[in-house]
Amino acid sequence: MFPKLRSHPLVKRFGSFKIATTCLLLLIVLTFFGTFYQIEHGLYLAQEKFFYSWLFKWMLSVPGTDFQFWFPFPGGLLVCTVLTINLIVATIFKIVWMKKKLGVLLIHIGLITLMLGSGITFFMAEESQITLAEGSSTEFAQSYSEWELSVWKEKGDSVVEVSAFDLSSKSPGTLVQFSDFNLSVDILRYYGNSQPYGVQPAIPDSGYINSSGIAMIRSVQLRKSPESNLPGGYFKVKLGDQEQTLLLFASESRATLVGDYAFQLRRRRIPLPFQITLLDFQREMHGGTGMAKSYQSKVRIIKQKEERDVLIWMNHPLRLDGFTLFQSSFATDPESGAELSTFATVTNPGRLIPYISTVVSGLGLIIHFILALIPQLGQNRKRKTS
Amino acid sequence: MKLFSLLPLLLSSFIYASLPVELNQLPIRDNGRIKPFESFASGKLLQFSGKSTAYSFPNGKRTKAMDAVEWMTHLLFKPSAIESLQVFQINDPQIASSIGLSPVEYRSYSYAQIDANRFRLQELAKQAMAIDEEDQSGFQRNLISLSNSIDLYERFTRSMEFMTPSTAFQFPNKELRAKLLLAPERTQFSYLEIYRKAGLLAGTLDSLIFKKEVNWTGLDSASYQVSRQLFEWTQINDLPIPEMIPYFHDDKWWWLSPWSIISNMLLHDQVINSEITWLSQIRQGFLDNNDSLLSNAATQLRESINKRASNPEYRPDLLKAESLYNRVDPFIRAQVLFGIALLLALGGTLWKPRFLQNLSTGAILLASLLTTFGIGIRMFINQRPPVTTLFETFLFVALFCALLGLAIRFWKAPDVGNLLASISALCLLLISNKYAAEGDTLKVLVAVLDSNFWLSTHVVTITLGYAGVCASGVVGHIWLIQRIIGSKKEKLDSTYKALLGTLGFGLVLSFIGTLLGGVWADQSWGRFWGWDPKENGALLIVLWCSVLYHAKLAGWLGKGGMALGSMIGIIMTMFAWFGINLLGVGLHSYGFTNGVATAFYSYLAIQSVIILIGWIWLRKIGERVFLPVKK
Repeated sequence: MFPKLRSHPLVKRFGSFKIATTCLLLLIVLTFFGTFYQIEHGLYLAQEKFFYSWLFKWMLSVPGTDFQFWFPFPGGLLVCTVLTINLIVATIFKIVWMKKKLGVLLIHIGLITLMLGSGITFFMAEESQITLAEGSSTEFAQSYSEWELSVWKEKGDSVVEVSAFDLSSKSPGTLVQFSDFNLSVDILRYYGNSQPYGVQPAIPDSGYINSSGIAMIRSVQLRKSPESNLPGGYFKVKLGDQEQTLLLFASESRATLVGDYAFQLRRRRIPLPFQITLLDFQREMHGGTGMAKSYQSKVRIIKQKEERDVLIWMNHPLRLDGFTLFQSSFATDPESGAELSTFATVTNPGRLIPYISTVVSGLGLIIHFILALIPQLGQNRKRKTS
Repeated sequence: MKLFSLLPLLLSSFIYASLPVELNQLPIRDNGRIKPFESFASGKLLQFSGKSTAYSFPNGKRTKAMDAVEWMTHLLFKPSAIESLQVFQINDPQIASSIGLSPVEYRSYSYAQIDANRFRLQELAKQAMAIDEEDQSGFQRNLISLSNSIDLYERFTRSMEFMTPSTAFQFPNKELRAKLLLAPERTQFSYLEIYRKAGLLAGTLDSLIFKKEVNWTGLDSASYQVSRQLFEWTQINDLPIPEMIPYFHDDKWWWLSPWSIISNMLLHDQVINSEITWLSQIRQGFLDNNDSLLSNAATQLRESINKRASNPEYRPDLLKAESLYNRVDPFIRAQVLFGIALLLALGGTLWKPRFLQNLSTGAILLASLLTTFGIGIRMFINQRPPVTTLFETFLFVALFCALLGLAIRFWKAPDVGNLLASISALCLLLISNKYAAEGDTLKVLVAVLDSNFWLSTHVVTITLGYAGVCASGVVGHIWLIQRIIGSKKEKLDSTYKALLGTLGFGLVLSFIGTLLGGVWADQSWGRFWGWDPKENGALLIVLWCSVLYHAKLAGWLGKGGMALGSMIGIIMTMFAWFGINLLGVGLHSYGFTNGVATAFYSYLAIQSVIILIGWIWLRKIGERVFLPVKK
C-alpha cells in the first residue's frame, strides 16, 4: 500500500528486515534463557525478569570465582513492542498488496492482531481463584498473590462498612488514612513472607495484640511461586487518642479488634457480579489408581433476577459477565473431610483476539504454502526421473 | 510383487511361546487399564529389568531364560523357581554398592541377591523418601524406585498364596479331619480349600458361643484354631493385586484381586466361585506341566469373564486387538525395513541407481504401511486420536518423515527422498524404543489431556510441524554432502527446493500448532500464553524458521546458510520435543524417561560438530553461508 511511501526513510528504518530479524533473534535468546531460569527460580520470577520487563540486568558469574558482572538486556516488552511497530510498518508500506502476497499479508495481519491482543491482556487481564466447599457460597474471588488490610466496624452481629487497603506495593513507614472511620494505620513492619510463633503463656505487656495467639512473626524468604507467600506485619492503629499496635498474620480466622473496629490481613478480594454456590463436586479416578480421570463441579449462579445451575469441568469453563471460571483443582479438607473445589478465575477483555489471529494467520500460512508449492509441482511433468 | 510375498511372513510373528497361548489374553486391570495378560507380564518385566524377555547370565553371557508370560506365571505360582533369575536392572553402580551388592557387568540382579541385603535397601529408601520429591537427587529417586519394585515383586509372590498348601493348615486332630472331609494322605492344605469347607464347622463354632472354654473338647479347640487361622490370614494377606475378577457393585464395575474376592465374601456367587476354581486349575496345570488343563481353564475363565463383564470400559475385542498388536510388533519390524531401505538407498547413490532406489522405495512403502497399521491399531485399542503420549509422537513423526520422503521421491529426487524417509524414520523409531521401555505404552491419560478434539487438532498439527522441520534438517545434511562432493547443479537445485519445501511445511504446521496450543490453554487454564517451557520450545521452532526465511528474503543467507540453519532447526525441534521434558519443569512435565538425556546431549554434540565442519568446508569451496548485507 502507498507505494510512494515505501522509500521514505522512516519506513525504511522502522519497517526493515534488520529490525525484524534482530527482534526475532532477541526473542529466541530471551525464550531460551528464560526457560532455563525457570528451573531454579520458578515461572513467576522468570516471567517478571525476561518477559514482562522493558530492560533488565543480565547477571553472569565467572565460573570458579566469586566475580559477578551484569549487562543490560532488552526485556520481552521492549522487543515485542519494537517488533509490533516493525510489523505494522512493514505490512502497510513494505509488502506489496497483490494477489500473490495474499498469504503473507494475512500472516502478518494475524500476527499484528496477536501482538496487540497480548498487549491488552498483559495490561488489563486479571487472574484470581475461588475455592469452595460443597454447600458454601461466595461473592468474591481471591487474588493469588495480592494482600489487603481490611478494616470494618462491627455492630452487633452484622458487619458494616468495610474498607480495604492494598498492601502489595506499600512499604513500611507508610501512614494510611481510613477517613470513613476516622482512624489511621501506620505500617511499622511488613514482611512479604513470614512465619508465626505462638507462645504459652502469652507474653505480658508485649505492646501489641493478636487474636490468634501469635506472639511474634519472623520474615522468611519469598517462595518461588508468590501464592505460597504468607505475609505478616506490625501495624499501629491510631483511633482518636487511642493507640494500639497490632500483629497481623496472613488469613487468620479471627479478626483483631480495637474498640469497635476489626482488622484482618487477607488476600485481596475481587468482587464478582454474581454469587456462586458449590452444590456438588464429583471426581472420577482411573480405577485402582490415584490418578484423576475427570472431575467436575455443579454450581449455582445467582444474579439480580437470575438463578441457574451450571456444570464446570476440565476444558469446559463457565463464561459469565466478563469472568471465566475454570475447574482448576480440588482438595480434601484434612479436618472435616469436606471436598473443596478450586476454580481459576480470569477476566480478560482481550480474550478473543488470539482466536481471531489464529484463524487469520493460519489461513495466511496455508494459502502462502500452497501458492509457493504449486509452481514446483508442475515441473514434474517436464522431467523424467533419470 | 516379490515384496508382497514377504508381507504374510512379516505379519505372522514367530514367537516361541512356552506356555499355552490361551493364557495370554486373560484380562487384567493394571494402572487403571484393562489389558491382556501378556501385556501385563511384559510391562512388569520391562519395569523391573528394562527388557521384555527374562534373561540369565551363565558365565557372563546373556542368554534367554524365558518369555514374559512364563516369568509372570512363575512369579505368581512358583516364585521360588525364579528367585535367582536376574531381572532387576540397577544401572547405577553406586546404588548397587550402597546396598552391598558387587556391581556386575550386565547390571542385572536377582531377587535373592537383593533380598539378602534387604535391610540396607529399606533403610536407604526410608531416608530418601523423607526428602521432598522436588529436592530428591537422581540417586535417591532410583533407590526409591528399586525399593518399590522389590515391594511390588513380593506382593505378586504372595498374591496367590491362598491356593498354596501351607503348614498353617495342618490337621493333626483326627476328628477335625473327618469333619472337614479331608483326604487322609495329605498333610497340608491351602487356605482356599479350608475356607470353602468352613461351612462344615458352622455347627461346632456356633455351640462354642455358649460353652465355657474349660469345657471345650479337642475338636472344639481345633475348630476354633482353624477359624482363627482363616481370619488371621485374611487380615495379613489381603492383597489388592492382581486385579483380575470383575464385580459389579454400586453402579460400576470393580476389578478385584482373588484375595479381595475372598475377603469380601464374594465366593458365594456361583460364577465367581467357578472362576476362582479355574484360576486354581491354571495354577495346577502350570505346576504339573499339564498344558491341556492349563489352556482349558484359561479359556473357560476368560470366556466366563467376557460373558458377564463386557461393558464400555472392558471390551474383549480391544484386548484381542492388543494381542494382535503384540504379535505383529509392527514398529520393530518397520525399523528393520527402514534400515534395509537406508542401505539400499545409500548403495543406490553409488551404483545401479534405478534398481536399488526402486527397491529402497518398496521397503519404505512396506515399512510405512506397517507403521500406519501400528498407529491405527493403537488408535483402536486406545479409542483415541493417534498422538496422545510422547512415545506416540515419535511414531507419528517417523511416519510423516517417511511420507515426506516418499513425496520428494515421486516428485523428482528419488535418492534424496529415499534417504530422507529411511534415515529419519529409522532414527525416530529407534528413539521411540527408549520410551517404550517405560513399560506400558498404552497408558491411561491425565485429566487435562482427556479431550479428543484438542488431541486431534493441536497435538497432531504440532507433531506434523516437528516432522517437517526435522525432515528439512535431514535434507540439509544431504544438500551439504552433495555440495561438497560436487553433484550436478540440477540435482543440487532439486535438493535445495526439497529443503525449502519441507521447511515451509514444518513452519506452517508448527506455527498453526503453536497457536492452537494457545487456544487449548485458554480453554483449559484461562490464559493463551504463559511462557511455559513447552510453549517456549514450540515458539523457538517457529521463531527460528522465521529468522531463516526473513534472512533469506533479505538476501543475507546463502544456500549454505539455509542448509546449516535447517540443521539448527533439528536442534530446536529436539529441544522443544523432549529436551523440555528433561527439565522437569512446568505444566507440561509429564514425560520423563531415563537414558534419553544422554542420547540428547550426544546428538547435540555431534550436530554442532557437523555444522561447524560444514561451515568451514563450504567457505573453502566458495559457497557463501552469509551474504554481504546490502546498504
